[in-house]
Amino acid sequence: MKRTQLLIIVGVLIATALGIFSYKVTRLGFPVVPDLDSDTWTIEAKISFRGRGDPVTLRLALPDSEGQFSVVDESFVASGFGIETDTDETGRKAIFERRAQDGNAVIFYRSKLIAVDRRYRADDNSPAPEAVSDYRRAERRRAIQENATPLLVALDSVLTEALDKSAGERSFITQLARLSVDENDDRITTIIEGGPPEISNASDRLVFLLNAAGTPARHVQGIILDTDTRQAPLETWVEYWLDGAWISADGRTAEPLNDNRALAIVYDRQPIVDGDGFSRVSVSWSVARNFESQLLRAMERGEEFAPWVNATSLLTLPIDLQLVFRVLLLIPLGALIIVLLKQIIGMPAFGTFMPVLIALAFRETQLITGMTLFVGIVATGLLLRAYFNQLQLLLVPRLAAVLIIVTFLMMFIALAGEALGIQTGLSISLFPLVIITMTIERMSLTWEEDGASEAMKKAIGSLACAVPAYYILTSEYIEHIAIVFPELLLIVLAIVLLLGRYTGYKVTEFFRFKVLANAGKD
Amino acid sequence: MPFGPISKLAKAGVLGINSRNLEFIAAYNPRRLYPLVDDKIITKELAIEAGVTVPDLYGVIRYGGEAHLIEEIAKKHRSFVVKPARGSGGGGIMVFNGVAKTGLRRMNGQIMPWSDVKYHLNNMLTGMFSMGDGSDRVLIEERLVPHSAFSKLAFGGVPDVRVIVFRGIPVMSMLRLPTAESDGKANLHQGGIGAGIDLVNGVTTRGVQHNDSVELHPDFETPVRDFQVPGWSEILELASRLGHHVGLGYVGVDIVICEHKGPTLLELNARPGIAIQTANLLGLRPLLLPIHRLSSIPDDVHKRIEIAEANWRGEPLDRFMEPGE
Repeated sequence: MKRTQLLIIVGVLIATALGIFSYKVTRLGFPVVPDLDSDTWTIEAKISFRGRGDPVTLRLALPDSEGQFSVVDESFVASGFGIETDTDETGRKAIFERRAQDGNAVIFYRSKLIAVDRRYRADDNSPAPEAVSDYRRAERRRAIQENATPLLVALDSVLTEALDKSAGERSFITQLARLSVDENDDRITTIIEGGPPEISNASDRLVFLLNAAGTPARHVQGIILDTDTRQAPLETWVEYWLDGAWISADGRTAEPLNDNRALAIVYDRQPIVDGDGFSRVSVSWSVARNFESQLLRAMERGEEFAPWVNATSLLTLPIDLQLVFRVLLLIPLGALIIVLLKQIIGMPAFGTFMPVLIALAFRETQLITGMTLFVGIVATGLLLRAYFNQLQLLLVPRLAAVLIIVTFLMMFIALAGEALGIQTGLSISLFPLVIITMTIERMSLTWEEDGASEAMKKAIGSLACAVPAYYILTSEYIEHIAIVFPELLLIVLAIVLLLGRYTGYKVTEFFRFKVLANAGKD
Repeated sequence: MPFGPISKLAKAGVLGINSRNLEFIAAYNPRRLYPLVDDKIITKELAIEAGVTVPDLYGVIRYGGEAHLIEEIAKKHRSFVVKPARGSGGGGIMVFNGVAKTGLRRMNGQIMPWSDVKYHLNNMLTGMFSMGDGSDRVLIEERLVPHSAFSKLAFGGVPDVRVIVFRGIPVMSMLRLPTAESDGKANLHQGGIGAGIDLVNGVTTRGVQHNDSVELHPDFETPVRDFQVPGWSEILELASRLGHHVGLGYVGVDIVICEHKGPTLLELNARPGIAIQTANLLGLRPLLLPIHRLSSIPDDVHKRIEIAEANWRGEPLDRFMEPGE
């Protein structure tokens, strides 16, 4: 009875899902695979600030169409503010003005960008920028050698070394980057101390050195359009002039960046936001890849033939909400993987959905770094917990103590990562704190009660379950399917329901009861 | 068959975890009855009601403020067991057999300082070893002394007999023997020995450790086969009586055979594991299905044991059906 009911429900779910899916694909032409080459992006800036009751003028630096990107469309949401855009020598800006603003205010700027292939920009006749100096000219070198201040000597030595070790312009730049990154080098310390005050990190030094060598270079602040994110960090990199074009490059290695991904916003440490009459200003950026063309056309057709499709489509939601759903819709798939691994395979793991949560955390850090950090933090946490046990702390305070230590560990890793220039430093802060703490507690209890090998087995099992879940959660194809065809989740539900009544053996049980299976044969 | 090995398991009648959960535990154990077995204090009351021997209760500690009560109990009884009321898998259980000025003496002779004892009690009270969350209570019970027949079979701890009782009818049983490796615990996954028992006469048939057959107890080199479990008929009766009384259809009854008290209830388990099949080299399913088909179960405990024995011998159970069915 229950079985028939279940089969009917499963049948209805699958039929509904496939019905809607095939209608959307065949009749309305929704794309089944994402247009991965599409280089159109939507970025959104959210500027929040606090007015003091005085007139407010706020200038926001905007991306322009001069470089690798073309601004196709832009819009502002700033009720009560007068808005104009202006371009001066430092770049394009939006200026928001209001007679009096009291209290908190939020302004939104949204813009749609297309990466432009430089090769087809034949009309680019902007003049080559002028080098600050040309060190490679002999008289310049002589002048430096005659005026030997410590800074100039250091500069001369670094530039000469880079020149000696390089074959062409590009390898000269790479050598320079390699030298400028080494803060143990006395010459670099001299340059930091004696150079212009704005030299604060490796990319600043690279710009300074390149300029001194006669290669035009500038410092850039902008956004790397990489994945869809609600919290796109403002990155810094450098641009140098090579063979008649600006090359975007990493500030530490001088490795060129992907031009279709590096969106410059301001140059030479210009502020992103300035003006007066306000305080506590903050800007956060969100980035989303556009499912342009085919999807847009499909939605237009939908408007005409089946308005309900659009009305129920997640693509009509505001961008930051869409981004939330891009993650949320993948969690059921992760759960399905866990059901398969635990119910059918019999993988040992802590808790039920801990592996999915771990996988979600890895999404923020990348797999390998995530695993390393996870293992490191859990191991340290275990040691500390053992120590807290010696101090005879009770359960809840001990958990809280471990949680606080884990917070410190993350902070330490973030700071160390930042100091070493490793990006994971930032993303680890999104690592779910409570999950790690609970993992530590669970693991140490298992350790005490069932021994180290059982605890290790479960820990490794949890990580092993998290890996396939991670690949599911990070696949661009699956993400596309999930957000464009959310109805397919009904199939996932149907499979999970079916598995819910699976009474067959787990794969691990075969090994466990091998003797019994063989006894039957004899 | 695409999965040859898996079909061999089915042929041997092995009960898997999924099947145990869905077809036996979910189908026969109503959720509302779980507290009866999950809370050792309730289980004890229930067992007394059913006329089953239980360890004496020396005291219950409910709050951290009562932790000092352990000192009085210790002075009075000297030898006792401390366990969380809702503990699972033996977590938190501690056995003491003497009192010193500085603390309590554990079975291995070490003295556990009073402060450590109280810390452990507090940990148990906060629910650290308990199912669900939140607070728990601590039971202080008589330390069960195993029957002298086990002196060369159990290392450092108390052996027990696990009987799977289905609808009040004992189905399969095993003897669990602690070893040095299992640190005196009778748990199989920690290295204890499981020995299958012939349900009819209570003689062990084979032994396993870590899923491998063993002939001799590793610490004493005494054979684990052909051992007559003392008081077997009383064990069957205890298990059947209690299994029927609690109302849980599928339950594991753990029994300790004491020197003086005879078979004594240790605890009930609403989710008994499936390792018992390896110990008996026998699948549970062919033993469970005939009982599953019975339309009614007799209230008389001796009738049920008769069914259990017929079932174990593989005889058809038709003759136990009521006429006309």
